[in-house]
Amino acid sequence: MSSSVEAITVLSSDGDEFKITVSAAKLSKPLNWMLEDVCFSDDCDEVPTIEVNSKTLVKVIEYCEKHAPRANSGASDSDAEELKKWDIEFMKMDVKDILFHILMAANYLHMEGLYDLACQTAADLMKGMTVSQIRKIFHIKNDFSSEEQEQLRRQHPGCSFD
Amino acid sequence: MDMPHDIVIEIFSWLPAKSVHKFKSVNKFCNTISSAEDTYFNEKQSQNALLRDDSCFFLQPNWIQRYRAKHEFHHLSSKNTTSGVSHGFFQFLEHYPACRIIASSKGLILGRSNIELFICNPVTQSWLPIPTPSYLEKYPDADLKVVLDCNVEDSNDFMLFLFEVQDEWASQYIDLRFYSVKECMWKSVEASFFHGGRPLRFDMHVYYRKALHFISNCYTFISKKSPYFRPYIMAYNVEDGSSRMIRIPKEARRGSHDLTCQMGIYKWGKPTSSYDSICLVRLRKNVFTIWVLANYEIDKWRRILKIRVKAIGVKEKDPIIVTGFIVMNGDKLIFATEEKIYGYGLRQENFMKLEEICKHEFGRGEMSFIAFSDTLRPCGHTVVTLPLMQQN
Repeated sequence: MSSSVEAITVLSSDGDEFKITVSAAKLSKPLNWMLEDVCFSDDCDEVPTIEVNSKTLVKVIEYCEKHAPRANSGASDSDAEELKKWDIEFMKMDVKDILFHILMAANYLHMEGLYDLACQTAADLMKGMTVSQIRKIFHIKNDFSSEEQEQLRRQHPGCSFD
Repeated sequence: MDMPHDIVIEIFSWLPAKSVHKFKSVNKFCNTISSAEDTYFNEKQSQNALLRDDSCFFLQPNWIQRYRAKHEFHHLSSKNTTSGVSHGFFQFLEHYPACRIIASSKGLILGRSNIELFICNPVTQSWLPIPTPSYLEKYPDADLKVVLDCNVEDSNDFMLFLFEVQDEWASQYIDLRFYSVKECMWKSVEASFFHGGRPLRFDMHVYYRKALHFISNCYTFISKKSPYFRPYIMAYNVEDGSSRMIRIPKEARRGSHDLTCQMGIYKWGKPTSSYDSICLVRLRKNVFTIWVLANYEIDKWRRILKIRVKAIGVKEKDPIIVTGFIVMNGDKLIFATEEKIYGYGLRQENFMKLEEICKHEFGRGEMSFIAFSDTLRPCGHTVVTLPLMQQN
């Protein structure tokens, strides 16, 4: 395969095929490595698998394709402004359902921009939640013994365990 | 889903300090986040906070600094009424002798008590006493002209400048000193600041393009021949020590000698956006006019709003008297009337949208706003707890 390929095919963890353009794949180091492997290997039939489920991968690729032109060439101020608005719209999603998957994927694919954006969005959504809501969405068990809870209450009056 | 710990830490670093504290009781792991030893987290949280909006503000009367002032503390959003600021801090403000907040930036405040100065984080209750500068020992009754700004790369550091104004009418140069957090001392700065012919308002500054910007007062005492006849903005570049005068719009200069005329400059736009700049607010004869500096190099301004206070939609008895104002977070005008505080949107979907924020108890007296956000920003490397807390 020559280096003139414009898009590569990858598999999601569910086994679905996705196409991602070369310039978009450059936003992620691991994807970029895969791309180099595909471009320079003789065995072109092998399709690399990305350990991200289909639903999440669609979103990640959407983000890459949108941000690729700017990341590769730099953009004017008005473009940057437009991209900001797009990011906000893009992040309007359910925390449990998809945002957490995006977070893990961005971390795994070393995509700094998306990772920061997703962390910030998650934090904004969590701000108003109660302690028990946080436990629920993160699947965290309250591992404090009742003595430890008592001690924390003494240290921080007004602290709540629900 | 089990979230890896490093991702949880990353998400938490985008939370305001009060939420980080609230979520300490989620489980043992969350309880370890943000402990004083966890410098990575605390620094990350304070750097992220530079990109977040200020969520609250202090109010205090416009008295000279020497005297104790009553403080009020309010939230910008009525939905959000708890902050990380502890009860102990308010007690400290009230009981510490002649205690005043004189500056605030991203979670740190600069306080003054007679000739004692300190940096304090009201959320973590840590404080850092600052040695009294010789200027203050010499002029113990003077209003200090200081600038505190946390927009620096190292989250253990901050910018603290002292402008040693001797006699503003006599000299056009002001000597200045900066406080070195590492060496714990005030150091003189070689290049003095050329301030022009008018006293500057050091109680509000805009840090933009590596320079501190100040607006002059509007008094009438200057001769018509002077280049400083009309008010202006003066910039001091903190990197090369150069001073530069920026003209304000022609329309703002006109009528500036009117006794009711007040002007302020504030940061415009968000730190992450590409359009950040400086905005100028003028209140004269009960009319707000707001300009944005559209081209910094050639002092080109763009007027974005001109409106009578009456027409804003405030439902109060006429005449409505504005007792103070500020622009917060680069997109919202906050102003006080005799009874209440209002917010007025200046950008995009909130443009010209009025909201009532709260009531206040300062009446007709002029007051100043001090914007604040709850962060875990350290006051330098040495951590000491607020003095009143130690007694308890």
